[in-house]
Amino acid sequence: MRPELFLRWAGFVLAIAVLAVPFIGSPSLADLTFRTCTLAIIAISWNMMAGAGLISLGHSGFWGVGSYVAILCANHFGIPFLPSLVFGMLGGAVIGAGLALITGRLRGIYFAVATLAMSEGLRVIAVMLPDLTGGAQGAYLNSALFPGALAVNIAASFGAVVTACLSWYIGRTRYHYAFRAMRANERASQMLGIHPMLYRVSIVIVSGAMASYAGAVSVWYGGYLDPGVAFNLHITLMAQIAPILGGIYTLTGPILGTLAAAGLGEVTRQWLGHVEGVSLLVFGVTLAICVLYLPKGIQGGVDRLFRSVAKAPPADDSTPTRTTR
Amino acid sequence: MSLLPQFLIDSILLGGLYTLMAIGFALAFGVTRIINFAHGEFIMLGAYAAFWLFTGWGLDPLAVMPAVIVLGFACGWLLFKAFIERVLTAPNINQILLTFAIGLVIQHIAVILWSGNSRSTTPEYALKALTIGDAFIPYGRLIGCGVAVLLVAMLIAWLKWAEDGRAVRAVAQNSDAATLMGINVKGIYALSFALSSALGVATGVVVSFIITVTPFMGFPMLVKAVAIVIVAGMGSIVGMVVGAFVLAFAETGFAYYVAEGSGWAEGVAFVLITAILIIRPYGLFGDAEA
Amino acid sequence: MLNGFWNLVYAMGLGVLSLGIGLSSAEAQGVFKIGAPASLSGKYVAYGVQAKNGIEHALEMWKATRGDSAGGRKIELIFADTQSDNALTVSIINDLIQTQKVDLIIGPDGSNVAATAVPPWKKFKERPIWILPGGSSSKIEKEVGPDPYFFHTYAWAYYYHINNVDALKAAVGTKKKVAFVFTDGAYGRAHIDDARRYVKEAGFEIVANELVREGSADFNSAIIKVRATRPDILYALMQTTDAVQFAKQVYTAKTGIPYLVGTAQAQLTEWQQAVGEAQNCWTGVTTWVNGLAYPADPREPKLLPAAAAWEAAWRAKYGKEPEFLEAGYYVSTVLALLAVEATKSVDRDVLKTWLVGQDYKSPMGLHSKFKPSEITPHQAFGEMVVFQRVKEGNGYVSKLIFPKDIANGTLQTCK
Repeated sequence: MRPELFLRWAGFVLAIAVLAVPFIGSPSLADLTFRTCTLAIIAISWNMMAGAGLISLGHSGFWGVGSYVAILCANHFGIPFLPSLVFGMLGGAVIGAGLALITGRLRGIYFAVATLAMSEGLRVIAVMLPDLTGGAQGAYLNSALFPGALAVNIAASFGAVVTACLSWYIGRTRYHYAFRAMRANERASQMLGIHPMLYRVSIVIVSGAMASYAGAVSVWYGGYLDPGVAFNLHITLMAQIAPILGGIYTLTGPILGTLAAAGLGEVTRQWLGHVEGVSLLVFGVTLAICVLYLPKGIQGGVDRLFRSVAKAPPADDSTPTRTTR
Repeated sequence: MSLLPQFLIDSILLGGLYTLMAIGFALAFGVTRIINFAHGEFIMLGAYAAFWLFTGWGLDPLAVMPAVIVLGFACGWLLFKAFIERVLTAPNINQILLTFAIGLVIQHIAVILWSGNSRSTTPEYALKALTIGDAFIPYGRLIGCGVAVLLVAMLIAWLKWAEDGRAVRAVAQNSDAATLMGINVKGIYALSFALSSALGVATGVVVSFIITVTPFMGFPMLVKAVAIVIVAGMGSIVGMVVGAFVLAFAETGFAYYVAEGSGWAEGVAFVLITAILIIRPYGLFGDAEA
Repeated sequence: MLNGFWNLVYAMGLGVLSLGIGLSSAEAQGVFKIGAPASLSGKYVAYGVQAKNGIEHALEMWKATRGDSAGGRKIELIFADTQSDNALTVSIINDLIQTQKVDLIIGPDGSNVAATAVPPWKKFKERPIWILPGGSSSKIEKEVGPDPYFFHTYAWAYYYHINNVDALKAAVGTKKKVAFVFTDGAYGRAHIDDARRYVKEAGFEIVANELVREGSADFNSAIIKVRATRPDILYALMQTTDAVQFAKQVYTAKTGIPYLVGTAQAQLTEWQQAVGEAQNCWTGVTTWVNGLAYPADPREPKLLPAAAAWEAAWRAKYGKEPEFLEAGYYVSTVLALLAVEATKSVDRDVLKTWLVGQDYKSPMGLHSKFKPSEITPHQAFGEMVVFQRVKEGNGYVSKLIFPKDIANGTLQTCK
């Protein structure tokens, strides 16, 4: 079977599984799936921006905005679950647009630092306005509005599937080539007629909205929010670790990486979690090994294997004209 | 009673402290473009080294600093040879992730070995201050400032006049041309990384009596260092110093003169960074290199 | 090749599935399951370790005196590392209650982590008994509400300040000026409102409210501004890490403020060792400090020995002084085990009734009896003592200054 067809089937099966687990899985499986789905959403979102040459060190900013908009909608305006998610995404989109417009032509590490500034700035605002956000003490989401664990889990699974489809779709359009060109050399791509600002703003808006969706769903899951939780560095880290583990810039990379990272996290926590400091240590070691020996991630490793097999010479070199296909 | 004299003193001393945090990173990243996200952990290791020598054997941090620096240099060299060398030509993100992972590992080894408790060294001078009228200059921070000045001066001199220092600058400008000049580029990268680690460790020794020492103290300092170096622009050590002082003055100014300013100060720092990056995308003193 | 990819998906799927199956082990008859979420890595690891030590020591003491079982049931302790992470804590609570079906939860530690645990616990109608030897934020209290299955074995934030204010009133009267310095983190924010309220109610004059940034490298601006208002009392509300740097900077600044009032940090050996001379004359308020003369309980002298004996045993085992979290978790675990032993049941209502009715002397305090607090119906160990660090010989000791009946010193001014 051709690889693309295989991948499509694999993806289809995975999507069905992820959507089914909230209904038929055990509660711990559903929880694990939830956390895996929110990680997948943010990993794909980060990967999309990275694909356009925009490395984000402040992805937690989008997550935090989504969380706070959702909790504010619920607590201050009594807005129920689904609409609050929409508002959360809008918040992320607005912040994304702002970020892209303000940072204009910044590239590489300079853009990355600007994203860091954004997420830290948002965190400081959340801390310094306790009357609005609950401040450092945190805020509890009004439990009367809770739609039930099933709804929240489905929302996460659904979000993950939609995000994956969206990234797949963008990968098939000509925008994909525009982003790749921008990533390689933004000035040169301009000469090709690609308007960098337009593409930059659009990709950051989409990416930001996705990440904010994940944050919004998360706050409904947990029911508690404070600036440390909302703008957690851990989120930014995982958003990068997953795509890089899986294979940066690729379509399947973030998904593979998410599965690997979530799996690794669970395993180390279950088996080593009773000894202090160890679980995160093992995570760090694994990450280091992956970066050193699998620089193109799991997908890269798979590709290498695939290519090395494809290059293997046919069994009998001497038969001249026989076609074997 | 005017707040101005103390404000000026505190700003200058904080600027010195920030310079210390950024100097190692400025050498590694600013000059040789090696992104070392474990830099904060080297500072942390230096601080713990000073703490254990102080608590165990009563040795003054300043006295042990030379020995600890040499140790830091050796560790940096080993780390480079073992890991960093392999991602030198990889995309930036790989360097960030690898060094971040190394930092995470070091942090948690520190937690396992030394627990997450807060520590500090308390040599005599750390709790004394020089009084000038209503204002006072804490000796501990003054020494920190002094060490910062010394290290910066030494670094600039080394880069300008020493054979190896000039080789480092040559490699930073154009590593291919440097090879043609007979410079051992791999060795130079190792040297500057090791030196940057040594500087980080020196910083750690000094801050051990100024701020609180915990296994997690490194990362916030790294963030400050990154921000300062980016704002200053690459390659410019003088720029880094200016950036550190600008940041220190802005933060302290807010803390003194704005209600609840201390809480907003951190946000201000980042607004400042963004503003500078927009006006001068390559930093205050940087040039438009790739 | 492609097989490689497929294998990967299979492996992941199998891994997740086996995890699910393994986790959903059916509840066994004759087992008493204790769920212990704790931050064993991440930024709250210092507290998580103390929680773990306290619980493990309690189990060890139980095994030594009563054997491996409680009330005829095998004791099963399930630690879960929260990694100081919010979403993970939610999943852990869900898992402990739904899948592991624990009979009782002790923990978690770290103010934000404890706060995060409330909504997932409350969601379950069949939620197990929850003993929380931590978490002082009044937001937690409000969110838990008057829940019958919640047992708080730690002090709420307002207890700190009620006791501090009473101690100050008794020592210096209320015609004094108070300056607050608090951090913008969860700790500072959780305490400042209650502190201000009780200080104001008592009749003190509040002359400053300086906010500082958690983790800031320089607190001088706040110290200078506070000094300018010439207060009698400096009241600091911050976590240990900040309290170390703050104490040193206050000492260096020679503010001349006669009374330095803190919260929990002054009793922690780590703070005392880190600040050295700067600890002089700082007061602290706590539920528990070393050297309190609490007697053993006559019914359980081995499990609940006199404070001195308990501390000595701890020192022998762990090589250091015990901390208040460790004491709290120890006593909470012992109470839980005694409950099951006495009632021979793990039914939550049976256990609840027993817990409400019990009253022991313990290394934590004279009464383990649960009484209502402002909102929670079951609050124990809310009585606090106020002490001061004073120089004695070459080192420093804690002198208890309040309440008067157990005090062994009076409040000194800072020279």
